[in-house]
Order: sequence, then C-alpha cells, then structure tokens
Amino acid sequence: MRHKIPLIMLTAFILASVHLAHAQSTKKIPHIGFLRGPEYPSVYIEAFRQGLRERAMWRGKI
Amino acid sequence: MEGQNIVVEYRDAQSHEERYFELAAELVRLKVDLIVVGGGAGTVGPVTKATRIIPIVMTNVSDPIGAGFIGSFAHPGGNVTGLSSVSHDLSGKRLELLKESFPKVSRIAVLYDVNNQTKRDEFKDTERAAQSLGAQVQSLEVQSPNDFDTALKAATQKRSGAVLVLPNGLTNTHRKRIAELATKSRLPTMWAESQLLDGGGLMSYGPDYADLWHRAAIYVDKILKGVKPADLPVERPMKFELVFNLKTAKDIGVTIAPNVLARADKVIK
Repeated sequence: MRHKIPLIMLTAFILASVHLAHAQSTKKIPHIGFLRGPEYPSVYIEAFRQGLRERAMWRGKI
Repeated sequence: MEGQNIVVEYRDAQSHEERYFELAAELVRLKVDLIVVGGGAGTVGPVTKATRIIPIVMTNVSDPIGAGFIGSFAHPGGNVTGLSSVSHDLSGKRLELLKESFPKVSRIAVLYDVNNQTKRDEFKDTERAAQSLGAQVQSLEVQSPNDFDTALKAATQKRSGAVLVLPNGLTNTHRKRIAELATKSRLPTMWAESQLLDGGGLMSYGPDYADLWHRAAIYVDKILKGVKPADLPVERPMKFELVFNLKTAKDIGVTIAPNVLARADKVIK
C-alpha cells in the first residue's frame, strides 16, 4: 500500500501534464468556423483565402 | 498538418436555408474562436441566433443595421462585425444605369424573393427611386424557382423593357435559369454583382465582392489578436464596378447606349 499511493499520484501527474501540454498546443492554432450559405462563385472563397495568406495565417485547407 | 497555423471548420449549406441553423449550431458546439459567414443577412441571421458570444465576421450583408446585427457601422456593439455591401442603397443607381443603357425603356420589372423582408424593403426603395427617375416599375414577386417562368411572362405581358434582379440566395442560385428565360423573352437583365453574369445576365453594377471577401480576412486577423468585434467598425465597399456581357446583348439583340458602355469597368465578349 505504501507504494501504491505515490504511484497513483505520479500517474495522475503525468496524465494531467500530457493533457495540459495537448491543450496548450491545440490552443496555439486558431480554430475558426466558416459557414457558406448560398452558392457563391468560388472566386470569393479564394479571395478570402488569399487575404488570410497575406496575413501569413493560411496554410491549412478549407 | 505540418506548418498549419489555422484550422478552418468549413460548412457549406449549398443554398439550403433550412440547414443554416443546424450548421451554425454545429460550429458553436465546436467552440470555434470566430465564425466567418459567407452569405447575406439570410445566412448571418441564423448564426446570430446560435451565439451572442462567439465573434461573427460578415462578408457581404447589405443592410446590417436594418437586419438588427449591429448598432451602427462605427460601433457595432455586439459580437457581429465585418463588411457591408450596402447593395440595397444601389437600387436607384442600377435603375438609372438600366435606363441610360436602354433609353427607350420606360417600364422596368423588378424580380425579387417576396419571402425575404429585406428584399421587400429593397423593392419599396427601388419604387421610390423609379419615381424620381420618371420610370415605372413592375413588381415580379417570386417564392421558389418554379415562379421564374410565370414572372418573366408577366414582364412581357406588361411590356416591361428590362428586368432588375434583387440579389438574395434564391435569385443568385438560380441566376442561369433567370438569365435564360430573360434572354428568351429578349429582356436585358441588371444584376447586383459582376460574378453573377456567369449565368448569362446582361449587365451588373455593384461592389467588388471579391474585394469584400478579401477584406474579411483582416477582421479574422484582428479578432484572433484580441480586438473585440464590438469595437471593430463595419466597413463599406471601396470599389464598385459596372460590367456588360456583350455576348448576351447580341443574343437578345439589343444595343447598349455607347456613352454608358464607355463607362464600363469590364466587358465580357
């Protein structure tokens, strides 16, 4: 029993650290929503993407 | 993804208005940092109903004050900011350009989605503008794609000489069908944005929409850097363009007044 408590604490600590690190790394990448309503010409979407690229914010894929 | 510095949750309603609420709610559940709305008031409305907290960036809402999204252009005041197309203010200008392009036309038919309050208001504004121009307007109310045929036949029956199409999801989506029917009836059509002429319409006058969408990225940048949408003024278009489709003019068999054609920013041949 003497060994078990520190082990559980250690496991909990590691798990919490991993979780925090994960949360921090995902938080760094902005997560935005894009709702496209009517079927606009794709040139508009491309203009928006271009705007993001110009701000060095766009390396993902829509 | 390696090198990725933004994640975009992209939802395309493909003009199905009943999906706007569902997709807006989905984006809110995902706890995104902000929502960009590629659509007019009809698309932004459901997003504002889904959240009063997550910042919303408009790309092209015609009348955001009238729609109740913002308090004023300078101080939006809530969670909505972005670009306004101020397109509804241009109805008078579009009528004027139609009349100048085709001086013999005295009656202009106005095609619009009667289920949309903003469009009903826009029609009234157009009617007022017509009075000051000494032109007559004919109301062509549509509710679904099935109504276009009857509407354009009514325009011919009443001897309207041209059609002004008020832009919204219904008319934009079915632009090709509307343009085909108008060409068949030999009626020139005026559209609110140049990109809509890909459906075969004759002319357009309106903001450079691609520029508005391009500028929406500036709002995304600022909001992600911590600026509150309530403090980010809503901006208007900086560029407007007059475009003619000469191919359609030839198909219809009409001649555009040379002095107006000379003012075109772009001519499709």
